[in-house]
Amino acid sequence: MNFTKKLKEARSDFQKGLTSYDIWLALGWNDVQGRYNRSKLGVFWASLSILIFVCTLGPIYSRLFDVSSSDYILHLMLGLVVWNYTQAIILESGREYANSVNYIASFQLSYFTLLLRVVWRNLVVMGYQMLVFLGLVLVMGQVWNISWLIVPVALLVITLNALWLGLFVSVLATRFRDVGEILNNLFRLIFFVTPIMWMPEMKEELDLVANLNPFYHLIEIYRGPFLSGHVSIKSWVVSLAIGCLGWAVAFPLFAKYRSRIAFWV
Amino acid sequence: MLRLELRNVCLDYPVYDSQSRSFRRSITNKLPVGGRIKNAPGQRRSVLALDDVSLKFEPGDRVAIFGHNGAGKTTLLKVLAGFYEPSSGHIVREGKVSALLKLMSGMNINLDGYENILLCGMLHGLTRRQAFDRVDDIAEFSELGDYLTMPVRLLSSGMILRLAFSICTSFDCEILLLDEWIGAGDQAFIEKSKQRLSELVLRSSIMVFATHNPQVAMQLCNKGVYLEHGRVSLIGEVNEVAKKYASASSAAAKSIV
Repeated sequence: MNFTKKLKEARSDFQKGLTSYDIWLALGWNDVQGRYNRSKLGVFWASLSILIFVCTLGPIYSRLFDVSSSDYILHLMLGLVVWNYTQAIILESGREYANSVNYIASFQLSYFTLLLRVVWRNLVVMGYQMLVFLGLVLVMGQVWNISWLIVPVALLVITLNALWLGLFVSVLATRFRDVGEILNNLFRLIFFVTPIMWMPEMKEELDLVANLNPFYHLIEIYRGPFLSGHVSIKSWVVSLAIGCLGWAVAFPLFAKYRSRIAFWV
Repeated sequence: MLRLELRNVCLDYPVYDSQSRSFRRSITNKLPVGGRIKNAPGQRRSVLALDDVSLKFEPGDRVAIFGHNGAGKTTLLKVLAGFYEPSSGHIVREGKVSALLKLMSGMNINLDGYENILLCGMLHGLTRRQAFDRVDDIAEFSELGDYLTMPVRLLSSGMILRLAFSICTSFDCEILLLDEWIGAGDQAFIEKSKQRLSELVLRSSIMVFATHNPQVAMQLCNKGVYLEHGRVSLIGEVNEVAKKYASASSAAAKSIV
């Protein structure tokens, strides 16, 4: 079968995913409920665990790095939220097809529907974590500013980037089962070289390390407006460029191998 | 326009997770089960699950697919459902397909019965609202009453079977693909479910049913296809094909004894 036809089929896979929102909203929501099944606090455990984490580590590490405690806690909090969201979408996409093989076979669900399910369940968790951020902002008396308005757009750009990475990984990790494990290890490493626990301003020579890291820019377009009201043009350009480039690679890859995925799951 | 047709379909099923072993290879190709396993040196191992299958289904066809274990029945259904793409040959499929391949497909054991009905309804292509309208009908047929408010994992396997059956037989489609799990359950429910199943079959335009059981097939179907090692060896009236299949299986049973 020629490639144009495959691209067309991949496009209709995407269209089917976008239009069957009833399904991925329901499946994703059930996933979130299932993760905290029968616990009293339910999804609020997502909020609570990040609250405990930043409130314990924040005061210690801010002293270690000699920066203001409240600044550091908010910096850590937002970095973690975006990191968890992005990382979860990418890594969970790699397992999603194999986990949901029955859905694909029995209901002709498109692959993209399943990826949107992954996005949605992580978006819900992120929402619960952001409640903690808003709480912290209120407690610490941080002021609102106009640049917060750009945050939803930033979230969209982050999601689109996570989604092309997820799409790419979903094909690769379903075919080669070692890829998932490799990525688990890799992302643990990237977490520490990305300015989440630290700030690029802390040491001049770390600035380069941060700026060479695409994840820093993805986090920055979301974190910047909240923390300093600063919208970094550089980070936006990098994020958008990587997004375009990534989709240009991931989508053809998905189109090429889409019909083989059924044999790999 | 409703169409379902396979033209010279082959399906080479690649095997990714096991090494070929010469000892095993020498015996497997002589066994009466399965498709042919290809073991060309230097190539990936694969199973030829469907071999040059050409079938044309017309509206009104109720087709029973007979075959021994691993003859390619379920694979054929999955090709018809669009899950597997043929390695060669063509498939033409126009119409709303419903594939009941697994008993509990789509169900979530942590949700209660009502939520499962909604979820499966949406998976079968209904909107949330449309699915909501079907809840009462399905709940009534399952006869589970207040058990529907409990998480499904707490129900007995018989109850789960009732629920799953009630759910998956209540959504209309044009092309209905059934795998052989259908027709289990306790005696009283079997009688009731037979009628429900025949109603579902009547509402669909084309039905394809993979089975081992000639009795059930003769009740539900009017045509038969006999698959052997992924090849169609006989197409015809269901009674005729069922007879051939039954005599072939009893011959095989005798030769083993």
